[in-house]
Amino acid sequence: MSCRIAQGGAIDRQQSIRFRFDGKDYSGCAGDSLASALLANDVRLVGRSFKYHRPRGILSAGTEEPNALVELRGGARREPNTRATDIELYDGIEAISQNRWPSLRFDVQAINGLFSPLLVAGFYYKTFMWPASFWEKVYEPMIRRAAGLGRAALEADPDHYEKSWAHCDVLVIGAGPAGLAAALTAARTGARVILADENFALGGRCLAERRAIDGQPAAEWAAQAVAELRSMPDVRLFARTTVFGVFDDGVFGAVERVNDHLPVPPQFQPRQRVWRFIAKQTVLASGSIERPLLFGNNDLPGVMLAGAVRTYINRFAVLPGRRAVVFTDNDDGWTTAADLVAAGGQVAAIVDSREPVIVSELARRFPDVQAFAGEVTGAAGGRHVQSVEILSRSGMLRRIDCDLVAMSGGWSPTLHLTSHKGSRPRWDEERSIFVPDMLPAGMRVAGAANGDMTLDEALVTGFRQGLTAAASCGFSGSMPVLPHVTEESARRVPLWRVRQASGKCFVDFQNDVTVNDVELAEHEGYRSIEHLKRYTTLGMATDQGKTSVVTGIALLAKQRSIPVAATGTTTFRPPYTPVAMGALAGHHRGLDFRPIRYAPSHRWASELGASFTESGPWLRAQWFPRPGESDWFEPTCREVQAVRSAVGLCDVSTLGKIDVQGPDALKFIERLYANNFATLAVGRTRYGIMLREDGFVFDDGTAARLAENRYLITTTTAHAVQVYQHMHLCHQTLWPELDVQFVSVTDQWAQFAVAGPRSRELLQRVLDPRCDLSNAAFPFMACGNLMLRNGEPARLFRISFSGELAYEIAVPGHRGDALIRALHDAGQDLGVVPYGLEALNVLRVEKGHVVGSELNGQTTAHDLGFGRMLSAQKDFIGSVLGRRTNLLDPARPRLVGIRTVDRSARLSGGMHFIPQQAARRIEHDQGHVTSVCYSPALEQWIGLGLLTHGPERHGEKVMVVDPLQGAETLVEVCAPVFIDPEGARLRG
Amino acid sequence: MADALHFAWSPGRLGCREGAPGLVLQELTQFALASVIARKDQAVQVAEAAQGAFNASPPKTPAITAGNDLAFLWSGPNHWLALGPQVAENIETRLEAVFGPHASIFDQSGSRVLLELSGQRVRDVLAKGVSIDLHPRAFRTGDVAVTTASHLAVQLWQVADEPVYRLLVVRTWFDSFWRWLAASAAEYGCEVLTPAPYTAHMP
Repeated sequence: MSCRIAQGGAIDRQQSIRFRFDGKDYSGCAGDSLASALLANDVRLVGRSFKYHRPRGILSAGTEEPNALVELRGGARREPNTRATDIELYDGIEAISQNRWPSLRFDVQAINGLFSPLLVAGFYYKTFMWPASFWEKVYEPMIRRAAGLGRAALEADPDHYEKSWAHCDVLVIGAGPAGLAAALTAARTGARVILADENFALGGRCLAERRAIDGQPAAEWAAQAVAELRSMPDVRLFARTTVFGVFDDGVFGAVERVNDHLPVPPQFQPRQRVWRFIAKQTVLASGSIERPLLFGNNDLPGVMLAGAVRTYINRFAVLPGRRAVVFTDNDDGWTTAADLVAAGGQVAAIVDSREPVIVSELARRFPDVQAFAGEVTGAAGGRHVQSVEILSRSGMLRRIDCDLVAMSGGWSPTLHLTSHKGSRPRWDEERSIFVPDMLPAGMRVAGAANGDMTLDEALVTGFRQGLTAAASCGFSGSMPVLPHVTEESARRVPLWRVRQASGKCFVDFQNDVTVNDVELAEHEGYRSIEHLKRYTTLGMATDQGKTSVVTGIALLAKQRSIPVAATGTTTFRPPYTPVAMGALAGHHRGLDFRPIRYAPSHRWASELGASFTESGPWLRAQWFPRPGESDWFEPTCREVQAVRSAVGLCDVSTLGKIDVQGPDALKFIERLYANNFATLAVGRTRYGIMLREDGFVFDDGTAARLAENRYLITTTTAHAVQVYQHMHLCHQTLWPELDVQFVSVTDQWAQFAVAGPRSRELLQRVLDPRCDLSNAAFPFMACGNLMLRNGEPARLFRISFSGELAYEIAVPGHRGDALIRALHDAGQDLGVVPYGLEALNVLRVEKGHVVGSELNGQTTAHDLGFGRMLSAQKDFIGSVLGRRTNLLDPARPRLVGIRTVDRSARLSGGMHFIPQQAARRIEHDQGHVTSVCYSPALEQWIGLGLLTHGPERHGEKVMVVDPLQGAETLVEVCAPVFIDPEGARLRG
Repeated sequence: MADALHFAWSPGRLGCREGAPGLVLQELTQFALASVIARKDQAVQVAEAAQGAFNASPPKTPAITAGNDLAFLWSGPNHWLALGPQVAENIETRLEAVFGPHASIFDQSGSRVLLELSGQRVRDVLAKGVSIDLHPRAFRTGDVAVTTASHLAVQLWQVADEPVYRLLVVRTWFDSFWRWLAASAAEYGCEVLTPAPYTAHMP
């Protein structure tokens, strides 16, 4: 049975659209929403309620919809809790109802309604108290299964989402009459304007009302306004775009549903796009939302908001019922009666809760309709409303058959965005509405969002606010001639609740919160609106109480016999409507979750089959497996042995590099580092440590003096950014008088470690033959600018992290790939191997070099054995606080080496030191193991650790314990250098 | 392509294939790039030296000034990038000779990838990752911005009104940058041109 009206509406009857709801095929028209198409097909029952599984229909025609939530699409594109009222009908759309089992018409859990005394406000705190062991295992899963919304897709979302920025002088939010008017006057001044509306059609209530503007239908006026705006080059129109949040400094979050109106987005196009609108001025023209009235069974399918009934009739050409009862506490409800009549519907009765004198005056326009001054006490029906009971002021009780109840409890300004920055709306007692109070900087409000409910007010305030907003951006224009509109009246006498309701009166439809729940909560002491909200869950569903919060506040006020203004209001926070996580993530998911930094040798390493690991933002080679090597252990040992016996190559470009120049470069370096640099000669490199202000070690690295006033300092990979920031902080705020300049050159130089007894031999093959690498000419810790065999410039540093004869060679970043290949090719007969992070770690543990595990922010220079490096000749960052007595206490955990007594035993990082005979308890804890490795040279597991009185205990045997895994073994404490303690090899 | 790390880019058409490409992209190679930072209280001498040697004064605001075979891009207060074609002489040596004790020079030729971006939708593509306003009322030919694109540091400037932009990206971040750019341009279509040696933009 079709409920489609033969003529009118903003739909295209020629363009039929097939769709499917709960497995059944229907057809609608282009221009329909899913809700209007369902109503056109006489589908009234569309879902079950959250708690009681009550049958629910379509309440509204917009974003505020609490009932008609459906699962859209299927498979990986399944999207739960979408509002049928917001969904634009497209060909092949598939939707299913939610929260029902086994079917929408017959739902087993509707029996919950019988147990509703158990499911009152705060039921989960009361009913499911005992036994406590049931909380997580029984009650919660049970409640979650019963009380639910839609199901999210379990597969990865196949669609692409993205983010974008847009700037304007004036942002207009909402394209109804006020928004269009504001956009017009602002745009005509030449200002850059963005106009955004959440609906797929621009026009707002111009599309929904049977009104004329300057003698033409309002929808036509809106279409002309849109056409004019479209013709202007600096105006951007965004339909299907919800401005969901207001952030600092004129930044607005918005989500554009680019392709939600198609089953699958076209190739290369995103499904949704999150916009950051940056506006100098904003006009909020978000309209208003109608409130339901609270009578018994006001949630039955067929009970609708009166304004929504008009939307379905006038915009979608759907008559949502044949025989209607209109129930209102204001003049606007009567407009719905008029539109119903005009559309050929039958109005069985108009019930107005106000004084009989008002009612009889208004009733003169409807000579054929029964009008009552009174209330609807309750609706009745099974899965659909079939009748209402009316109690007139004279005490007469009547039952009237109907299949539609159009109710109007007045309109609340949609002012959510005005309070995203923290201010709360103000109660306007005269009009019984909340109105915006303190506004975010640069925001103006026009039309119904500001409580100016009539069409002429919307147009006037829209024109004016658009003009003033543009003027604030330096653009001038003038007010247009105001269009003529017929008069209307928005008088209202609020009826917050029906006095003698029969049946449950729902306040919050989506969370199944009734008048009784609110009253009970107040009785139980939840007298603050914030407490009441959380206790009853009123306003906490996905609709955020768009149709319920104001009524809830008024009920509480009534209950407590205080003015609404004194009750306060809950806080509105972003987002205004739910936003998909995918849209917020945009491009940044999967491989693009965060940027990845690739070392210069990455391509070469991946060609060699290297295994990579994340190291901060970098992807670094861990090891380079050869055929037959299946795990990390074999390649790591092989790479370590190759470095100790021949030569290895490792990309160390990830270390931070900062080039420091200027007459005061040395002074600057001296203050940053704890050790002495004054004696460092040009052409030499020195190891250095930096402390934090509090005296703990910040970072370590080397500084190479490249010229008289030029130092190249390196940082650890992990602290590269922090060290650079620290240097800028020091220069800009502590010592701005220093004439020093520095920049990060981390990317400028691709740098490779060439380590092992044959490293000199290998380097000589790639360097200009005139370069002398002999010990005399280029000794340990030398540095200098050299030339490659092909004439390109390079830098060479004779530094060693492995303890072997070793160099680091650097070339400009774009030449790194060529150099690593040249080195690898040139060294084949020398037994050259690439080595990765694992081998690097073994090599440095064997030499006792500290890294992040030891430089953990809790260790001092003394703890790490660098105490003697601290210069007494100069002041430096951390020198004062580093001398605190407790930091010099020899009992602090200090760096030691350890080796297992049982040569076959394994070690793991994080094990705790406990004296041999002591109980394995925290009070006997003497420190922990920081780094471990299997040493191929020693053929056993070794490690570094921080042990109390450590350096005094070399030779002692201590237990290392891993209480988590129940492992322990005996280790011998030793000096933290396992190989070549004299350093003969690195000077070789 | 020539120098960038890039794992997945090569000349040709990407994304939507209908109509003119919304984004036209070309890597420029063989350029010399250096950071120039004026020493303390030496900004005037730096300007004079630059004027004398290159007939260009380093800009005091976020802009680019082009001189004889070298351009100065504003990078911060008294801090510029000097950009020009790669020549036999190292740019550091060359600029040190010009500026002497007035400025510190840091070779950056290997640290960035240089791109030229044009096409009908280039502003729309950039807006997907660049937060600054590129509308002609806000950003004109000759303007420079030190900003981020998709969270990655970039320096970009406009070289022609069509518009045409040039953009420097940190080399080791380039692959992530490219993945974002390619995804962002896909709906408009993207034409990747064969890399070309750097030249100053000729309108």
